[in-house]
Amino acid sequence: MTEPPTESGPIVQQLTELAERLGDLASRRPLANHASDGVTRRAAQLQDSLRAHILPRARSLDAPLLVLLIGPTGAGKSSLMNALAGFDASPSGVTRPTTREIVVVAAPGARDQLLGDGLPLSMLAGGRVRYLEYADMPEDIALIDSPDVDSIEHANRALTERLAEAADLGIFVTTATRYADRVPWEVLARMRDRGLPLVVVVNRMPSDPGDSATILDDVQRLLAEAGIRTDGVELVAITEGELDPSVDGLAHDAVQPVRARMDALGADREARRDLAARALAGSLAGLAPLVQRVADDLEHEAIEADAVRRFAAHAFDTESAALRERLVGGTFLRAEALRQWQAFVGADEITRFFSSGIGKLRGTISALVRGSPRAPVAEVREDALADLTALARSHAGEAARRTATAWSDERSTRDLVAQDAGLWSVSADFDAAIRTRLEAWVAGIAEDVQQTGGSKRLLARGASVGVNAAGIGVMLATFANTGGITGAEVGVAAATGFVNQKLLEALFGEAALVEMIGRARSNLQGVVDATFTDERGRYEGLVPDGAALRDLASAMRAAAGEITALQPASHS
Amino acid sequence: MSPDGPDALGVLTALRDGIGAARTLGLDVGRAEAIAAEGADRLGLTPDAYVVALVGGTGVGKSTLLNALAGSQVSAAGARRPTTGAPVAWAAADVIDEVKPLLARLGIERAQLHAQAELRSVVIVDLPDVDSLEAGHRSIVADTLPKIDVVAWVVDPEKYADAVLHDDFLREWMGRLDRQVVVLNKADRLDADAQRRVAADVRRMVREVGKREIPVIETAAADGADGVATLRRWLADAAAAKVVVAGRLAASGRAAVTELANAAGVAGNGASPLIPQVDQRAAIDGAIEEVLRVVDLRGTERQAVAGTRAAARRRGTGPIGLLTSAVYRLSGRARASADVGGFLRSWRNRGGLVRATEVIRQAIGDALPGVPPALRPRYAASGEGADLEGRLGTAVDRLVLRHSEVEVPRSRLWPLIGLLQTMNTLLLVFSVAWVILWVIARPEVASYTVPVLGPIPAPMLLLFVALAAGYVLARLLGLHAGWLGWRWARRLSGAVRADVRRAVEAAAFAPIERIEASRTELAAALARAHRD
Repeated sequence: MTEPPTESGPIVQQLTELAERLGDLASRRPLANHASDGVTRRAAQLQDSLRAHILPRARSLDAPLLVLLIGPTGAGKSSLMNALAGFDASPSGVTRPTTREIVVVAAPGARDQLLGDGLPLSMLAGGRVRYLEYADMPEDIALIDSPDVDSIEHANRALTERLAEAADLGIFVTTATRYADRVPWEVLARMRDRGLPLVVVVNRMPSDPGDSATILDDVQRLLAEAGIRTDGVELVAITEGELDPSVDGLAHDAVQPVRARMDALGADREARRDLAARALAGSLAGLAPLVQRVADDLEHEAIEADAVRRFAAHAFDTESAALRERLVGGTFLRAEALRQWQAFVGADEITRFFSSGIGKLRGTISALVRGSPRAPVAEVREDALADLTALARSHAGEAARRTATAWSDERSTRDLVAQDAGLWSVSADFDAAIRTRLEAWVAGIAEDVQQTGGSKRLLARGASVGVNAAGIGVMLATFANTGGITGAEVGVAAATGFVNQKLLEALFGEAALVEMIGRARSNLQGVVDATFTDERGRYEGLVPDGAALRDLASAMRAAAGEITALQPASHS
Repeated sequence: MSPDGPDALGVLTALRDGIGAARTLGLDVGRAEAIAAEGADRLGLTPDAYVVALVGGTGVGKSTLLNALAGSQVSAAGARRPTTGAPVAWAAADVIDEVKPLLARLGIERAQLHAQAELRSVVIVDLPDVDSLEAGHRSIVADTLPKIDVVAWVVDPEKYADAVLHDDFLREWMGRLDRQVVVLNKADRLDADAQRRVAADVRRMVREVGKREIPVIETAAADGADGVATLRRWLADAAAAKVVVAGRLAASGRAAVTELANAAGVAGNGASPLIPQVDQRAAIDGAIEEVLRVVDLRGTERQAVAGTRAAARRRGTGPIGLLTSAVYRLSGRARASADVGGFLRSWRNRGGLVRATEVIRQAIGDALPGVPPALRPRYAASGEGADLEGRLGTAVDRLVLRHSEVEVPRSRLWPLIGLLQTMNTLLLVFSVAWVILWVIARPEVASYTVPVLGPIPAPMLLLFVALAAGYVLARLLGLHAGWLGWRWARRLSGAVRADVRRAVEAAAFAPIERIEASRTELAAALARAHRD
């Protein structure tokens, strides 16, 4: 098993692409972030494992080995580091946490192989690297001191966990006090899953041989229970006070088993390649279960995403339907504009178009004497559009409020509506956006009027009414024309509707008018739908699409299946 | 502070009031209720003793510390981690019967007895760890802590900066406890200089988290050094047990009220309004204008004037006027243009209230970013569109109904003019008859000559005079009725405007005002809880 399974190349490539997709989703995964830390951690682990270990390791088994010191705060990682390196490399300290950046020690000349662009260390640690060269270090081995995994500096744990994905050999450092702490064991569990070869060092052991034996037995038991097999050297116990002040570290003799292991690796290229290959094989074997878990996460998230999206969909659909109902009724239109319109369409000069007998005669004479009255196009249009905007905003705002209220009850979306107060009402540019659409709608009606009436009687008979005025007439008819209005009904809207419709029927003929009103109405519905879709989009943009998550999950499961098929069972 | 310590009962009562107010605000009161219930429970129990718990990670030496305090083995200490699985209590033998209910509440079965007089009122409990692989230990601690009176947080140089202790325990509990101490155990493992630096670091952290001075005692539990003596003194030093207990209940009650107040955006000095008064007034003014545009004051005034004229026409125009006003009424023109009540009542036909409610909703929405997140659902609901429109609509309906009952003004002058007009009509009839007789019939009445005034014969003159008088009277009546109607219309529209203002003021922010009332109550509860 010195050679990595080369046939895994394409599938790793494919998984890497899936992981990239997962990464792209990250910004839209508030759900995952709140469901549990584990979800984001696993997604990051998958990406790091692929990009920072499997791909670079598969390219070269000869790149320097990364030996990572890992453990809780105050366990003595830096002291061990200094003892292993043989000089004062990483400052140890008494105040916690001590190490906040990673310290890398390697033999001279390895810098480019370790810190070059796109290599694991620069990829994972960014600027938080202190790089030291020391002639005494074994060949092609980088010894890395990582920050703690359990202190109040949460960033430390995040960085260390990412490094653990890239390492070839882990040296887990704990103490007689610490060894049963929960947090480090969580980190160890992941190292076990990704098959990282491991050395375990128990520091600060009591000098009492009985106590010491009890602790070591207990550590062995916990390791066995957790399913962790240590690498070569089993457990290394270091008694409290075994220090070497010259290097600010543990006594040389105490760490000798670990140092010897490093020296052996340094002296033997094949042994290094073998360890690297084992680490790679471990990573590959750990990939399938990780991918499966990430797929589980994605599926759970899809359920949650669907649920919160449904809140938004339901609120906006309900309000959109309510708005439609009120639009047809027309009662939202204010009487001022309608009265002006009635004064226009009810004038003798205009009623002559649809009157007969004496009325027609009177109208014709008035038209000769007084000319045609000016249609209040701009005023009516302005007022009607303002009414429409207010009505639409009222319903869209209600939908926004209901969505935000529902979201504030959900653990996953609570923070979103707490952070962005704008989610509780319509978007800031709502008025401008719907205004533009409504203006286009009115312009569309005028165009329709021209096309329908242009060749017919409009120009011949109703030139004095004008295309724009006829357009306003059709617009008003869109709201008021319910087919059943009679002159006996009270209310300006009804009266205006009646006369208005008479005029329009005279201009276009009943059938054409009905068609035109139908078109105007469906276009208005289009305006409402587009606006509501935009408003709803603000919420859907914050939450990934359940279907997309499920797609990604099933693609991952397929890839995981292929990986499992590649792996001999011995690595599990 | 009274010798009995803070007024725990007062704080708990304030907490209850605060919970009531918070509930109407839609806040989550579960935790506060648990604290209030726990407090009431504790107040009724064993005032002469209190419970001190040792809390910390595994291996920091909690059991060893208790053993050192006791001078004998109370709780088994050991190298194997975690050591203590179930809480162990250490209490004075002569008070054990009294403290049994306290221990039962904590679910502690094992108690070791002692005869140390200075620690007579102290029950020390060794709790399991907070951070080991045994998840059950942690939940025992979390469940027990709400019932603990005093806490000794035990850390050591290795573990004092652990995330678990800080995030899940210190941050959560330091503010809710009164008497507490941080014990830096195993201090003797460091040299003097390191010990000083670590102790300083621990003090800094404790200050950061606890936001006040909490004593830090350095101990070396294993060999019974000075530190343990200091801890013993600190324990024995406490005031009477009931003061300690009252202090703890008051602290947790205050913390709970403060938490509720923070959620409602209420500070110690009261609650600043969620929507600034100035914005509320602007929104109300805007909404009033929009409502008035639908109610249509100018239309109402026109109707009022026309109505007055119509009423005058009936009374002050004599027989001919009666005829024309009957025609007006029968044809329906009077109802369409001279019926104020009907016009007002049909205000809904003149448009919707959406533009008015949008002004108010906008004001509510604009202030939302300043509203604490927990309050937003209830706050935003006060701008619910249909609700607001309904409230406003009902208010307008009511005021419109009130004004539509108003009687059209009358004047005593009108019947007088009517009488004159009637007489004038008689005169007119007479003069017409005379003219007809004189011009057409020309009766032979020699005995009487038609009087002539200048060149014009009297019958003609009389006819002209009657016509002119009729016109003048009609104009007079019209002018008077118009003037009267105009004055009435102004009064009426002024009254409607004032009523609309009242209606909008009452309806627009009513739910917000209820929210504000609850916030004020919460602020008062907060102030009372902190009064001592």
